[in-house]
Amino acid sequence: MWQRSVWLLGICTLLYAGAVRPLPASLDVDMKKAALGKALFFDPILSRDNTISCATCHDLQNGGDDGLRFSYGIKGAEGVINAPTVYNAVFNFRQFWDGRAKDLKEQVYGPIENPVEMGESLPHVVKKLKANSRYRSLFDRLYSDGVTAENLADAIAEYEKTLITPDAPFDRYLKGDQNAISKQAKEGYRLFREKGCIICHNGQNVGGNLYNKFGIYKDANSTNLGRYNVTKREEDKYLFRVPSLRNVALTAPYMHDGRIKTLHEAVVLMTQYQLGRFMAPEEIDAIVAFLKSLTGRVPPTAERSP
Amino acid sequence: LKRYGDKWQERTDRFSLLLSFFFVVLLVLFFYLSKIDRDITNYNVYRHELDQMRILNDKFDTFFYRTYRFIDYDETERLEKQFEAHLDALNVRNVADEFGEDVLKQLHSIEREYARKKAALEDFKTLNARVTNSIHYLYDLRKTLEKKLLVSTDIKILVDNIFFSISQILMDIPFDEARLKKELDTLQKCCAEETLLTYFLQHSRQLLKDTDRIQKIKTDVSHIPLAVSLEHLLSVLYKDYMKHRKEQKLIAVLLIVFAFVILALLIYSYRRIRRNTRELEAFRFAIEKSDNAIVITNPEREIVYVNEAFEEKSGYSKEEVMGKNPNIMKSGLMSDAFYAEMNATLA
Repeated sequence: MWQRSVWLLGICTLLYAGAVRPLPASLDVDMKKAALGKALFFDPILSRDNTISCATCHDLQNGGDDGLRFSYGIKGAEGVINAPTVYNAVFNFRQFWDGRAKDLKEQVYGPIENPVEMGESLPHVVKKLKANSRYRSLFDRLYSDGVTAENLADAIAEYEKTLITPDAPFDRYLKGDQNAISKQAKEGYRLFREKGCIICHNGQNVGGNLYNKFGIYKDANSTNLGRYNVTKREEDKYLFRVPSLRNVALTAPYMHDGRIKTLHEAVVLMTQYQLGRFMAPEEIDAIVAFLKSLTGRVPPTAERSP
Repeated sequence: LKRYGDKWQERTDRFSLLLSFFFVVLLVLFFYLSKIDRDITNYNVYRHELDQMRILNDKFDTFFYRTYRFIDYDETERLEKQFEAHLDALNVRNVADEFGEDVLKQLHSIEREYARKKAALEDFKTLNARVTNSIHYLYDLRKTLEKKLLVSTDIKILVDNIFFSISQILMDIPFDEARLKKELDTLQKCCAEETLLTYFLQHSRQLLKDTDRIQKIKTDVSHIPLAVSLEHLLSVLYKDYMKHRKEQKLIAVLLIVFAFVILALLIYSYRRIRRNTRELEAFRFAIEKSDNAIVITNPEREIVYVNEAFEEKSGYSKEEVMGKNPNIMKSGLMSDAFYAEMNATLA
């Protein structure tokens, strides 16, 4: 059984060795923990003044982010970075723009404890959840040690594993459906490969698997030092996680500081700052058409209703 | 008769003692064998994990040889996760208990070396993506430049020379860096107004810088002794395992030999008891059929045996006298001295 699945995996890898691979339809998820995680995801109880939930900045009906340049936290505090989408985050090699969390579980603590986001302390959240009889009984049923910060992170991470958007037109195209995307999008994919975009945006998440410098061929005047904030190494200045391009049509504004409003402008910026080359407007349009074909199906677990 | 009885008692006691000893030896042997089994399993698990880590480490190394090549970076992440899973599998086990502090220390240094390699791979990915893009674009640019630069032969030769040097870089052939830099400077001076040439220059310079850093990373990585450490740990474990196996084999064989010795003693003892029992049977028969009335009591003076002649002569049945004191038969016919003597004998 195990060997057979490895064999199948090998076949799949060969078939989709074309550098961009379709997303799996689903992942192995503990649905009970995911249900608890979902309740927590939508519950402002996680913030200091009970006003902000995860869903405040990660609007699941609108691309999994908030459409703002910077997000607003408790008491109207403005953040300093563009909220990345929560969709397909599980496929990213690290979490956050600077990659400071190694996985979804580690990521959960970030926004809760960030003073300009939820501004809460973990012990206090645990205390609040323990005081809530519904959460207490749910946690007790699923975890032997009941309500703890780690279990809170585990449940939310489990829910986020369900937040994947398979079946994008481009994925259907990759699987063989020639009519799934327009001719222009196909041309866009060809350009995406030929102009070098694919060198950084590859894999099943079309990105999200390496760091690179923002502004390689032109100074991008970024105030955020990116990965340098984590490592304090000179060579890590302005290094950010290359974002996934899945659902990119829904996640404006763009870049870590949300400086770009439209997808078209974002592609133009990329060609100049990252690829160091010129591209004709019709080539940009084709790439945008390709990027739009990366919008996947919103999973049923994203519905607000319980 | 009493002498025979005592001997029999002594021998059966010794037999039971030997038997219980035999069971103890068997039990010890059983637990020792299961300990050996556990040790073998532990060793196999460690060897398996470390072998896998060695294979993965080799795969990591191949990435560093794929410079200037397109890499699907999901692959590096997948391998890293596998490596970390193997490390975790070793870490959840109690290494210090199973193989000693020294092995634990080595495992920690493997962890550190892996972390260094992972960080180096991350840097490599970043730079490799850039150089791959630059080379890719330089080739693309050359097509366009060929058409545009047909008129000016000097610049065309310059571009060709630069391109040739870059090809040398790609093939890891030693190239004249000073000359390349000079050519790049010359090109910069003569054609700042041509955008495509500026791109060409920019990418060539960036490529030089990045390949330089990649070479440094590669040198650094070659100094991370992860492969050696893994191999060393494996050989330490192997030696330790072989040493233990030898000891354990010896002890197990000794235990088995010991068990056989006890078994032989048991058989010998059993045969002696059997002979003894046969002799006692003969006596029993003789007593049973004797014409003399015979009564046997235990030290508490309770009758434990009477023969047929007793029943006939005294008129008491076996059932009546069992467990009773022989003085129930005191008839007054005998002198007190007789009874005194009898009691003395019984005692």
